[in-house]
Amino acid sequence: MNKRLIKLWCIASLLLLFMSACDKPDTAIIYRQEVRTNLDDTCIWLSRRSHFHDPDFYPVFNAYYEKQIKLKDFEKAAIALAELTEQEMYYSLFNPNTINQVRLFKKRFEKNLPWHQTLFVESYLGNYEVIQNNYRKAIPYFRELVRYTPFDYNTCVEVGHGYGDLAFCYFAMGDHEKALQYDLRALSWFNKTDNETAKGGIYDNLAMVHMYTKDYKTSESYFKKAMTSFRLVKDTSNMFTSLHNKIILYQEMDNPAQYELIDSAYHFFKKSKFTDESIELSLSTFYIHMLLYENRIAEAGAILGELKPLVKKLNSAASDAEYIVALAEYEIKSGKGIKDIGLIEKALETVEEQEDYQNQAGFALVLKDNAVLMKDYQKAYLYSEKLKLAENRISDQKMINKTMEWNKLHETKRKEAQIAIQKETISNGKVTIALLFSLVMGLLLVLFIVFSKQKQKKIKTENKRVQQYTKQLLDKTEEERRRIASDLHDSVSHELLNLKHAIGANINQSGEKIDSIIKDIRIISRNLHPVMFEKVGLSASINQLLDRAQSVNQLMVTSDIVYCGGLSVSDELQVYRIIQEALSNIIKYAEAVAAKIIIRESKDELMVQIKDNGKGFHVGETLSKKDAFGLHNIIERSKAIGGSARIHSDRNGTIITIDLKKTT
Amino acid sequence: MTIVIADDHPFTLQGTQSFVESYGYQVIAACANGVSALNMIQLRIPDIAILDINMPALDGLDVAKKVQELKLKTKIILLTMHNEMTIYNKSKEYGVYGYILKEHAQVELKNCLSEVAKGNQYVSDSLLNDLVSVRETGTGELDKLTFSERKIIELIAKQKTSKQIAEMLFLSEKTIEGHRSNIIEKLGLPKEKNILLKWAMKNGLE
Repeated sequence: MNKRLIKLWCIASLLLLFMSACDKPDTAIIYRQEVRTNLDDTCIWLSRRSHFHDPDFYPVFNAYYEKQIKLKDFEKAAIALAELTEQEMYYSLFNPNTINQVRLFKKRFEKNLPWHQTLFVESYLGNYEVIQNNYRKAIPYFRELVRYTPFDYNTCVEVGHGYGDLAFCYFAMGDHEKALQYDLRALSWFNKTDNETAKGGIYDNLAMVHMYTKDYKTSESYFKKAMTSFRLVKDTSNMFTSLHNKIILYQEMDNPAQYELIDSAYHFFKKSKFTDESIELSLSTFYIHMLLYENRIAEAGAILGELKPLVKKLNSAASDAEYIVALAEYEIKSGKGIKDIGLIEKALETVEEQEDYQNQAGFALVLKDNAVLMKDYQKAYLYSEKLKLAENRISDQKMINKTMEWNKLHETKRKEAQIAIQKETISNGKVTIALLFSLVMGLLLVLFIVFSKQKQKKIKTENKRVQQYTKQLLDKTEEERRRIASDLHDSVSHELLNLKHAIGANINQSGEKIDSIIKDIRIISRNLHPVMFEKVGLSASINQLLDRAQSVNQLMVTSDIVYCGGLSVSDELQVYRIIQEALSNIIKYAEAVAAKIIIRESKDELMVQIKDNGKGFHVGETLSKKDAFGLHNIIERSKAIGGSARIHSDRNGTIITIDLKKTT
Repeated sequence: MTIVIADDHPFTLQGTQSFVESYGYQVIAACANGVSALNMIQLRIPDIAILDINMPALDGLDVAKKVQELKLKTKIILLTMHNEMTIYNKSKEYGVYGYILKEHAQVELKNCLSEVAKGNQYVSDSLLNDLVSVRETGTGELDKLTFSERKIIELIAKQKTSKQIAEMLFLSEKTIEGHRSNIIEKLGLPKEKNILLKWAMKNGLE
């Protein structure tokens, strides 16, 4: 009982160990956003998104910043400036004053601080160039950023952004290959952090890149990923950005669902009371586009009017372009033609210089439509050529191929990363496996012990029986020798002795004596071994045996033998011995009136049956007795020739059946 | 009349040869084993071959079998120590003409040779007597019956029906009925109902 309890306890504890080993980390995030403790209250206040629209925001910043510069606490100044630029970049509202401050800071104080505390400088200046569509000017700033190898959360995010911004520049310039390459690098850095907003942004960019390479399916899946990331951190601003980009995708795909999406996105934005001027502008221009498509021209005009101050406030080439195009579309649609055509033509020239193909296409399209409206077909042709050029540039087939290549490369890298994670999981799981293995081994061991113990027991009894049989066999051999000796002595020697005495007296008598000696020896020999068994064969030898049993022992034995020699001679002899043994048992113990020997031969089996109508015996009891040599002899001989013996006995008689597999 | 003899015991071989020659037959070869005997028989085709059974390599029965297979005209006589019906039965299969026991050769060999020379078969009397001699001798009438028949009449005396007897002796009822009519015939009994039972009771077989 105790043993069993201990066993149970062992198994339970092993199971517990196994389960605890299953708890393992399931992410590859290395850096998590830390709560910064060394921040001043002012900096914390500055970092709040909602505070950016507070009228006191800039005064508070300026006061704090000037104070820190005066105190020569450049680190604190840098932190405050970083918070400010962060806010401006987030809302795409670049204050000219801030730009000067950052440029000054770069010139005078940057060298006083370690590189990781001044990353915001390049980021901000680069982004400012981006907003002005000066991608070529922006790129060096971002390159400056990505020189560094991140070592913590902040640096990781900054460098990631550097790559992301680089990617955006190349994307805007139509170099999708480079865009994809840098986006993937950005993603690999962001993936080391828990910054879902940054990841979402990259997914968004990736979606855009794939959109322009006409891989709409991948694009949509990236938008989905972006949405998931933004939703995870409840980043409404970026959710709208992503939604905006998805609208562009639907437009590209000529998906009829685009208007539905625009309508719902616009109204959702209006309803959300969320303040973001650049998103508002973008969604509004889409909405205007939709209204114009649905011929709701008056409504479109009204919204355009509402947007005017917003565009001014945004102060960016991108938003200007958006507004100009929307306005031009409206003017064309209303049939009046573009009012200020010079503005657009100038804008087109500018973006042509800047290699901004996106805006080139947009301006060329409205100019072409306008020319068509004005029936100036020469100009219409010119602009449609320009449009084609820009579009071709955007979706250059070579670039598409390259992009795909890069994408595949990214996939491989991602898979490699996955494999690395899996490897880690495996190494974590190794302990588990070892425990599980030992548990299984333990169970197997227990089973093995139980099984082998049972087997041992069985073997033991079997051994005992065999031992007993061997001993009896030896005893019987001795007995047999003694019998032969006494037979020879009692009959042959005595007869010879008599002969010696008689030989002188009477010759006739001597002859009879000699005959009787020959006869005695013949009987002895016959009892030892069936005469010329090999020659005579099994059936004839058995019949001879039965004849003798009948004439000597008065036992009626009949035979029914169907046998054509399916056994080897040595096996036949064993069958003969078995029948001899069985008959001898019947004669000695059974008190039977009659017995019968049956042999049946089939294609590959042989059946030998010996039955009598004697008084029978209890099989199990008799077999366990020491003197059951006769029965054991039958069983062992059957086994020796690859067969098995069944013994059935009751008071109506005994049936011994031996089944043999034929050897040939 | 040409004769080949074979025996692996030189003395017996010599004895047999002198016996045969004393009867006026010509022994053309005396062989010490079955192989040379078969060779001689094939080579010389004697009228008679007297063979021992137990010989090394090829025994007397094997030689007889070969002679039968080769359809040689040589008649085979087996001169053996084996007083066994099983072996005699086997030898009959191989078309052996004579079967005599060595112990009675002095008396029987001459007779056997002359019978076989005439083309008759000869079997030792003592071989046929063997089984009978072992049997117990009962009442005179019962001696006429076989073992099975006696067993059956014993059971009839115990008032068993044919069906019961058949079951007890592991035989079919038909066989028992056959035995019954054989017994009646052998004992010369009239064909009456229950005549065997009556006879058995009368003869005190219960």
